[in-house]
Amino acid sequence: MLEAHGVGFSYPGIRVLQDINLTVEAGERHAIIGPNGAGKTTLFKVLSGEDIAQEGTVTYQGQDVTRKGAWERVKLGFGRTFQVARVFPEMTVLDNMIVALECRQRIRHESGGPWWKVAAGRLLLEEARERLAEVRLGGVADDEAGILSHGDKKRLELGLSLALEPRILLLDEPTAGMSPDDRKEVVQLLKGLQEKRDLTLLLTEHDMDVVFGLATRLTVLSLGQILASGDPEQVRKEPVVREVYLGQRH
Amino acid sequence: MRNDFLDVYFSGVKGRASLVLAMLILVASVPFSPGSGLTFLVGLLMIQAVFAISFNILFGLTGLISFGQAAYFAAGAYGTAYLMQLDVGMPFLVAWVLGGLIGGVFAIAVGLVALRRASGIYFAILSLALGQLVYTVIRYSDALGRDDGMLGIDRPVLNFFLFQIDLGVGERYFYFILIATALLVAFLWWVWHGKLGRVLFAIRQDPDRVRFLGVNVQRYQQYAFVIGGTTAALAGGLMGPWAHILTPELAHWSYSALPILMSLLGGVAYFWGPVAGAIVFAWLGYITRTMPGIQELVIGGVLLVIVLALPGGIAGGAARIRQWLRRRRLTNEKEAGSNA
Ligand SMILES: Nc1ncnc2c1ncn2[C@@H]1O[C@H](COP(=O)(O)OP(=O)(O)OP(=O)(O)O)[C@@H](O)[C@H]1O
Ligand SMILES: [Mg+2]
Repeated sequence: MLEAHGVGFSYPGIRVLQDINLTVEAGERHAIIGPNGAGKTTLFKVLSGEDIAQEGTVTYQGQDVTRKGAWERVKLGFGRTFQVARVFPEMTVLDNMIVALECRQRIRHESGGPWWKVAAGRLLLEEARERLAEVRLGGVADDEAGILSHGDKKRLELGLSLALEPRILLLDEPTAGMSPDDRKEVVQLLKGLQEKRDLTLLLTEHDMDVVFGLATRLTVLSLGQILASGDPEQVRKEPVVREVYLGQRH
Repeated sequence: MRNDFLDVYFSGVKGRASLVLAMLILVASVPFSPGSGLTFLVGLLMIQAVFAISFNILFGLTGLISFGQAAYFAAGAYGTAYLMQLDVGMPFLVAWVLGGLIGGVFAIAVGLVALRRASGIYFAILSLALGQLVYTVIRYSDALGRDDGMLGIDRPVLNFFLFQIDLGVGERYFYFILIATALLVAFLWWVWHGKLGRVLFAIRQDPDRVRFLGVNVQRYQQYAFVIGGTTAALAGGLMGPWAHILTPELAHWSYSALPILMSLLGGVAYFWGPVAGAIVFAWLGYITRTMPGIQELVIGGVLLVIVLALPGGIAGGAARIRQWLRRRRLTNEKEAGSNA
């Protein structure tokens, strides 16, 4: 579904990604792990269009998207959340969701009711409340998003991305900063969503319980290169992986 | 946070409608007040209030600093006046709308250059430079009166074919300004509070997040540019017949500072903020009009104090008072409940 061929990327003076070859199959829950600074976030940037790969190509469903901007890829079915959750801090949680749903209306060229109306329509409001309940934010719908806890912001951002009904969702550390209970819940939520709606997941994560609880495929990245990729249990046993990454932590 | 600060006293649709009506009646009664100086100032105030909101659509709503807003205002003012003076019998309303379109087209051009090439402070400086271009063009153009300005601009006659309204009679042009600016404010209110306003406000907070919601951010910033430029030009188009004269100062960068100061003073996060700022500005100008020399000093000092004391501007201060009132009411109700 999503493929990287020989992708390279450098910041001025630092080579961050080298010759990355990666295939994400439709329906996978694909986790990328690696030590801090390995280049996971940079890889996400290049795959999602926030930055453009300097070498190699990125294809999505057979189409070359290497040079497409983020908003164009989103229109094709990409979704993305950030390592440090990004929401609209000066709006209420509900308004955050309304903005996301209205963006979906624009993508699909749907009308949101009479053009002269300033308030969002009733149907859209109902959907917004449902979607907030789905990520367990129904109780804080009228709070300003800027005052939410870190974990709540993460869940809101996940909800905003899901509102666009993406085909492939890139999650950069979806459970960072959450309590162990919240983590388990997010794992359940993501599994449920992925089975219910035909969704492909690509995520990075430092928490091994989340990784092995969720991933159907595992890729290890270190110093900008892929060390191993495959079935999670098998990758876990590879000596080179134990040495470079897992060995340090477990 | 984008709620209207006027909600302190008036909430709900009815309250708001009656407040707007009260404001309209108050302004409409100005020509009946003794002394004619006030009427001219209030007419100017209405025009400048629209000018200030047009700037704040870019700044407070979309997060783009435009240091060249006067260029659109002047383009509309000169464009309308020039078309009026052409001897082709063009109806005034057509000249006015065309003047607005000149501003809109200029905004598209500036937006194409500035949004593509620059961001942040570079964007601001580029908008300033492109604005000064209009100033220079006016100063060297014979048709626009060069440094002397365009003089003797008459109040127009509105021709509706079946009947005519001569706006030169009495204070009719004042009421024309009132109606025209009320329509422009209504339109800008609709932009600010509607679906378009919501996404522009989101872009101001985090353009990258909005890109990842599938929005071509640059195109929406361009929309904000066109709306801000066109409404500034339409406000400018009302100026010529009101003042009877247009001078190049209207396009100077110092005139661009006016809507910036009004918006900061009133509160950029609120739709009515720039209007509140424009009113205070006009009032300060009025009470210091007999102090030549120290006038700027007094106005500058007062602005400094207000901006420092009220970070959210006048509207922000009013919003805090509202929150305080509401909290007090809630605690009072609680106490009353526990006493019962
Ligand atoms: N904007 C930037 N400019 C320059 N260097 C950067 C920039 N962003 C990241 N880097 C560098 O690129 C390398 C990879 O960073 P990246 O954020 O992709 O790592 P990561 O695997 O996501 O790490 P973490 O687990 O800490 O999130 C690091 O050495 C980092 O210092
Ligand atoms: Mg990272």
